[in-house]
Amino acid sequence: MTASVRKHTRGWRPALRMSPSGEAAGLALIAAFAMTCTVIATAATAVSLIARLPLVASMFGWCERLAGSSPWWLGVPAAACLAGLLGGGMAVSARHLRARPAKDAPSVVVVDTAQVFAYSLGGRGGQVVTSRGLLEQMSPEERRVIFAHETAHLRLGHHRILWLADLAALNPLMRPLSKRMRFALERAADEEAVRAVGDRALVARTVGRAALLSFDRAPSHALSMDGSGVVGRVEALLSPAEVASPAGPLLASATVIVVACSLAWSQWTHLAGMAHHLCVI
Amino acid sequence: MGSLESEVLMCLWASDDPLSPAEVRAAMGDRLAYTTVMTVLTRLWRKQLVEREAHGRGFVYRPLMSEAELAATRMHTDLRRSTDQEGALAQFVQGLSKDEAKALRRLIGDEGSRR
Repeated sequence: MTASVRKHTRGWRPALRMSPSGEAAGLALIAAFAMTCTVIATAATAVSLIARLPLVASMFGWCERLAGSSPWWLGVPAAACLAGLLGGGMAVSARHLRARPAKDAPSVVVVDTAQVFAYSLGGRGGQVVTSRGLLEQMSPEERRVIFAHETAHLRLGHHRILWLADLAALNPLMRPLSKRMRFALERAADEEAVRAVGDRALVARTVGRAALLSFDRAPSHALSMDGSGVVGRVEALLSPAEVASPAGPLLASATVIVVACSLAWSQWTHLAGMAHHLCVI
Repeated sequence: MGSLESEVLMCLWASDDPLSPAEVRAAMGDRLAYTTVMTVLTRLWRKQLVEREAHGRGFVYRPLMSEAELAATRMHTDLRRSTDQEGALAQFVQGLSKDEAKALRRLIGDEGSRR
């Protein structure tokens, strides 16, 4: 992902510019739409199996049209996928609901540890959590950058988009989209930090130094794969403000969604048939 | 917790030294009245989120870990244990691969870990 961001910020001038906030919102819409299509397509295929289950057949009556809508053996993996999606969705949601500050909790918490971290919990009225280990390695201006970045996450309600990104990631085909959403959220908060402190280079240095701090302390835990996008964030901050996120990834995602939706549409009619059947009884 | 209180608290955490109300006001860009800053600091002191010591004719304030923060610390430990790299949290400090670390040092210069 970092390589593709470099390609986009050098040479290719996109016709459509978009702020990171705009991209995050756009991707969130696409993710929500794609997830709905995934659930519908999976459910509609699983219906062919579910409709044949003796319990269901006795409750709703044998529906030839539904049971025959797709081969029953296709319904097996579809039902398994559906169960996985629903179970995974509940696990993701439980995780996110736990990651909220307690009522009447202070807005700022500095954990007394040498570990290096900073994150936010919740939305407006939420909480910024960081560590003594990070703060003492940062200058006062850099600390202000960190607080401004995390406060921006809270103020802009990014916790909801993050939730959506984690739900979307349940579908392996949507993992790149999910990753790009997270990147856009960090970029948006970085730009807000720039607005707060008025210095792009300072924010770039803070983001980079914080990551290098953590890396230097535990290089054995270094990511071997793709990586996190910190380089992309720093490059974007070191570039002038006008080089915003290109619309390329957004258009590519939109194309994939349109194709997926047209495939899902044929299945949607089967679900509609089932709903009609249930009402007719 | 009010947003003014959290802003003032973050101001104190950002500073290396204890701050007087005037210094807090200046650090926040002179947006607030001096009396407002004093009121907020007193409120934070009563909530035991900051401590103060006499300095000249007034006080200087420094942030303090309170009972509420200790509870939040416990929650943090639980969260860290249960969530993985791409968990429910968006971390400011993200993990790096070796190549990324190299690229970053090139971009921002190797200032080392100590400031």
